[in-house]
Amino acid sequence: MIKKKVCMLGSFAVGKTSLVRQFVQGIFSDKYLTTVGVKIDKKTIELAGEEVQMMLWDIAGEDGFQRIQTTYLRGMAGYILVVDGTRRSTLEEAKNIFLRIDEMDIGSVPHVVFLNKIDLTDEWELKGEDIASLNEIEARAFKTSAKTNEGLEEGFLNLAEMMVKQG
Amino acid sequence: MRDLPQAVTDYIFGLTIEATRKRSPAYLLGDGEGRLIEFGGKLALYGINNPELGVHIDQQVEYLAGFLPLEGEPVVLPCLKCGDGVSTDLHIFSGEGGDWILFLESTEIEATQQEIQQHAHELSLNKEKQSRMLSQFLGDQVAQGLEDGKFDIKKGGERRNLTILFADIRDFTPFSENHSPQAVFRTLNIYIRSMMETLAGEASSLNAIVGDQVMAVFGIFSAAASHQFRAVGASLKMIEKVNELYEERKRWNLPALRIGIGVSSGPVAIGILGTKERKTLTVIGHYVNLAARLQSLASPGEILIDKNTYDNIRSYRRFFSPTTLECKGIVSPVKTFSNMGKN
Repeated sequence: MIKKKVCMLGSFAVGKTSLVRQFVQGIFSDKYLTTVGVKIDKKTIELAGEEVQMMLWDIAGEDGFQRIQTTYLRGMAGYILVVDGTRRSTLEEAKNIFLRIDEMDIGSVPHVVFLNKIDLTDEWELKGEDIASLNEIEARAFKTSAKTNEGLEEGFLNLAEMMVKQG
Repeated sequence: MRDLPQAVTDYIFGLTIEATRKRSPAYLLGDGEGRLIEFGGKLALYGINNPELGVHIDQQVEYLAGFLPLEGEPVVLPCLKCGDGVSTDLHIFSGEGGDWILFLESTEIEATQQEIQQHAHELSLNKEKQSRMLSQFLGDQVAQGLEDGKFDIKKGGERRNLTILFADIRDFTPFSENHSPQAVFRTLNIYIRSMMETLAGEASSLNAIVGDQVMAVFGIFSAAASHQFRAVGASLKMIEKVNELYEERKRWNLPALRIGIGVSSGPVAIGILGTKERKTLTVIGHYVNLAARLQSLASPGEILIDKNTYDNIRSYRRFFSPTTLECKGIVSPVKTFSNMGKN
């Protein structure tokens, strides 16, 4: 079995923990509970007949006081930048995280962007040009909802493919 | 600690040992290849049962993959939680015998930090939400100005040259009496959203919704184009958008309505009204009343503007022709200009 470490990154309250819970356990709760430190979960998926175990590191979100603990990132094979589509500022914060990882001199690490909370259509703030701006960080974006499960399978599988391809 | 007496350092050392002992320490020791050569402490608490000597540590503790053998500085992974396990502060460091992995329970630390962090994040989310609401109701610039405390309206009020726009959905009262409240609000929302989006696009500084009426003020903040020009530009776009909406809704056999707009420019009093808890930016004066009157006289699809506005919209003048109206509450007839060629 191929094992890959995946880090979930982004601002606080963008839905990283909910995405992992939905993907791994199929559970959703709309009560916000902040993550301290890091929570690790596993999910095995099948990719072209081969089993891939994704070890998901759900890392505490960035806020005005704390940055991502870079030691958590050691050994990661890929990462997911999570954006809250109802809070435009979280898109810029995700781009900043990418730039910092890019500077870490760990080579090109496969990554995707999850534009989360797509179920909250009335509050959605991201526009076409915002999504197009993700070209700057060479990331494919997936509209996701941890509540309805929309886009999760596709997004995680896409990342898994990229990681396996990278070796 | 060289400057401290031995008794003091011994005491400090004792405190540290005692505090650490309470945190259920456990350890693994790996050789230069990352194979387990020694272990001890309450490893089961950290989900490590029956560790096998000689086997790679990252095969036994999967999340340690990529950390061993340790190269360089010690690594600390605070508040790490695997599955339903306990929260752990993980320290990885090189020392005598190889690479040491020290597990210290951090449940209490996590709980304390969680409480503080949760509170801080909820406050931030609330602030963001309020800021978004302010932007929706007042326009981005005013909201930002209020938030930053940089809003340069004098506390006691001041007089400024501004442009006021009123837009109102025609025949909405009879419509609301003949339809269900749900249908009334659904339709009202569609129309109001269409108007507000246009106003936001034209950088109006203050937008307010009163029932089926929208009021916007241009000129509080400076912009490239004059406030009169932007207000008339917004009016023309609003009429165009609402006309499109009207035609589309008629095609679908849905309630279709039109709007009338009044625009006036001149010196008005602007200030902040309200209590400490709830403030509102308000404009008062003849030109505010005039814009409201013109709006009330406008036919469906019509924009009525006053002379002050007309004089400052050179490239839009071709859309307007003069007319004179008697306005309630204003003594002399008012020279106005209409986009519908009223005479």
